[in-house]
Amino acid sequence: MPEYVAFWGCYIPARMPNIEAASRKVFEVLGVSIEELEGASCCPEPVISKLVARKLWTALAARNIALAEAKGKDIMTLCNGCYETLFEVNHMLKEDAELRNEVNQVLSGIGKKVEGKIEVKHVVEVLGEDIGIEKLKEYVKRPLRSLNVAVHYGCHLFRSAKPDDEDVWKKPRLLEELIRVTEANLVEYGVERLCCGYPARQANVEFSLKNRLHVKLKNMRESNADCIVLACPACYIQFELGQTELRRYVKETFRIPVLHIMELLALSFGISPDEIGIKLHRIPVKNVLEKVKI
Amino acid sequence: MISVEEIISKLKEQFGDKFIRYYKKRDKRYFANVEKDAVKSMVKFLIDNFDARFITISCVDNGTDFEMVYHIDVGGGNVLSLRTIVKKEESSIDSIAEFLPAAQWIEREISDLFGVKFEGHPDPRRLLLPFELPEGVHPLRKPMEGVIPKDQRPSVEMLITKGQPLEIAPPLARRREELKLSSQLPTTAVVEDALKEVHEIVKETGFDKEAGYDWEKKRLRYK
Repeated sequence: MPEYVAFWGCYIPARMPNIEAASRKVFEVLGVSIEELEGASCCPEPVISKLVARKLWTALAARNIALAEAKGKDIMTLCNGCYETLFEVNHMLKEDAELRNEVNQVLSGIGKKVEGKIEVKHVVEVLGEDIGIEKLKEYVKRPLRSLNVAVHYGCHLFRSAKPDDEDVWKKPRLLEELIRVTEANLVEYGVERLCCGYPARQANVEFSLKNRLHVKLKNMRESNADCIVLACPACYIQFELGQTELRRYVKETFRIPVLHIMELLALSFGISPDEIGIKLHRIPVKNVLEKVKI
Repeated sequence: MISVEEIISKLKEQFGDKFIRYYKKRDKRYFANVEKDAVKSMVKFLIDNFDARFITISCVDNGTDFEMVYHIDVGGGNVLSLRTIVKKEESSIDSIAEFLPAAQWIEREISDLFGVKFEGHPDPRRLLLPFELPEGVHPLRKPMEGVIPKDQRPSVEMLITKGQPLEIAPPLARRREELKLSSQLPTTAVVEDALKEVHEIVKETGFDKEAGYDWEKKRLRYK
């Protein structure tokens, strides 16, 4: 079975152990071997640090890549932000020899080097391509047929090395396919591609909630979504915390549960909600569990 | 006549590590980065040993620090500018006015406008500001601010200090254990040698200086 170095990022281990627990259970069921990346730092995050300190952003990401190269295994991320940073830096270092030399000059001070030997994959690629959609269907013990799911792709899931539509949409389509594996119904709500507003909240929380999150939530509710499924912990925070924060700015109240794709898969694989810490959600997932009769 | 390169070479020889680096920006314009505690001696060395003439001092407030630039005519129309950094927390530097009376007014002007104290100035009275203006008001002094946006400062501090913007706090560690997860992951937050590597990279890329990070206090120099 495939083997990867897991890059958990910062949010999942430190704020959302439920996602980590669900992921580890799913990998265990699938027989996917995951190794820890000892000594990993923050990826670092791909918006502020990339803009404010591009040299540091590149060098720290390169160090994480060098750690994985030393293990000879591809990196798997469960966060769109980590994916963006590690994928982009890995791609740049492979393509741009001059940059690679510059970065290796910095890394030489700590005895490390990037050679461009590994790939960086998002978990939706690992599951949808390396394992395969048809194979995954064999593990579904508890189909979530009655569940209406609104998918939120997350902007960084569109990161691609090639500027063609097919490649840009590959991972978002894989996320949809993974939701279909669970036999849940994907509802269309019209603004799937819109950003959740997480990056904008760094500058203006009100704008981020009213002009991004609220727009998405209204459309999701109108489409009768029982829950939101995504593949990014930053978007997860924006949807979970943001629904509470939004009450300060709008008269409507939203309580739509938010699940990471790994939690949805875990539930469909028959894993107990308690084992994956489903009670840790800020917005209770009770209605989801009731609807799928768990 | 002695060339500027020769003068610079003598400065390096005399002051060693206090002379950090020099560069020529264009014809007749030379700049040197030097340590703050050696500026006074360097200016004196230039005046005493070469046909040099003090022109003026510029002060630039970059938010967390002042950059003081001592412009010296070193002959033949060549200008050598000695650049040094004065931390805003200190806001003081040795006066050169005790041996260079021509520097008295410019030091008083900088003191008025930026609030930089010139230690040992023979006559540190106000020069430009009205006498009735309260103490501590300096019109060109910016607030103590660095390049990191306010909301990002805690994350950046944590990123430099621990290599991670978030920590697994004890209550969360307990929850992780309840879920049969290890209480901590082997990241830079717990692996000391790995954290040292991150610190090396932060220093090598100059981000600590750019962000205004204080390694002793393990936090940004501004709130």
